[in-house]
Amino acid sequence: METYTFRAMNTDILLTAQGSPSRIREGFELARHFIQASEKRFTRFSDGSELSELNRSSGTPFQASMDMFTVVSMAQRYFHLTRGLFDPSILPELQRVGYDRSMEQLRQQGAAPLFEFLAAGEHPSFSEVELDERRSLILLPSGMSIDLGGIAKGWIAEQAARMLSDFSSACAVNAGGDMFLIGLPDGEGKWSVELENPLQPDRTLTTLRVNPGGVATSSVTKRAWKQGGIPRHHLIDPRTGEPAMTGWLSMTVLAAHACEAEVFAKALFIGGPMECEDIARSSGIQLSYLAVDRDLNIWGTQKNLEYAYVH
Amino acid sequence: MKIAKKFTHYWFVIVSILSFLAGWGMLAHSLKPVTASQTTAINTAANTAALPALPPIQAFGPGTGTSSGLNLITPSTSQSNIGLPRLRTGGS
Repeated sequence: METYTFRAMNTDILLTAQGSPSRIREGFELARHFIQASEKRFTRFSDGSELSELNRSSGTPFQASMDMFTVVSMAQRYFHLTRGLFDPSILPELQRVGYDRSMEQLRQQGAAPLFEFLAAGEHPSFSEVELDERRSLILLPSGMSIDLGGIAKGWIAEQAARMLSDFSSACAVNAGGDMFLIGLPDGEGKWSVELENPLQPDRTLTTLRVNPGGVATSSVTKRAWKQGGIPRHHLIDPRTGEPAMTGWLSMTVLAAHACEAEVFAKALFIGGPMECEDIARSSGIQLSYLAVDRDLNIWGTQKNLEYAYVH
Repeated sequence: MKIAKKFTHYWFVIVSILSFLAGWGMLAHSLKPVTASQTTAINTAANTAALPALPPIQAFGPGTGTSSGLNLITPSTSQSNIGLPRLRTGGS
């Protein structure tokens, strides 16, 4: 299989495909162009992005591109399916705990102290966002700003993989652990996906054997920083406005779509051991999930046992 | 006036000495107080018998509670993926 790597969306992107090398290279270029263009659209770290324009427009209807409208519509659906645990409107809380710049800048410069931000306070619910599908209009309630980082990354990976599949019999797009797999490599019954050790990311905890579809992991050890000596991470529990504390280090979800896997990896992590199964079941979406705890034990429902193999 | 002053002086001295001796005697013949450690030991012994046994600490871990239904997964045998691209997931 041919592979192609580059950096975008503040992470490493890996494209891999099976087929004629010249055809595949064409597909790689197309997918890379799409990913880079989408990054510019969905980033919150650039004032010129469409997402930043949308956030500035809160209180008035915003004429959205088709891609933006699609992702915001999906976000609202997943907000309801996860009972609000996936909530793009927690951006003020995310900024308050220090994630107000890109992770690369945060790692270089450190987080701003807590007192530089006013308390995030009350803001309208994400369910109050109004969508006009016919005219592709989005109305964010006044004062609301949203972050589409995770769901957009999953959606972008899936769209890029679908583009690549026009040039290949089997392909995958991996955007920093959020991936979408199409078809199967010759002679293989499943794809092999290594699950990183959350405490030593260069090491593999186990290898998952998965069917084509979406895979995503949310972890508290990667996007983590300190704010005035307080450990912080990016998985905000919307119920408290603070980084979620569940005793888990990571949550990996397998689903039919990459954005589903991404959204539910976040929501099930925040739900923690006591709520995750209920949230997954009530969503009505077919999901398999594996959590890693602080002792590096892997937890999952009985049906997930088939996915984990010793590396 | 001088006699009255002397009388008062001796009166206070005598009353003070008698009061001191009376207090000493009362304390010497009172019941000995129970020490704090003795009290705790008695109460603990009484309460332990009344309380049900606590579940083992593992019962509080994820997966073992009835409301979570999660299981500890022990990975099984290795699968070969020679020739396939190295796909990794672990958050970004």
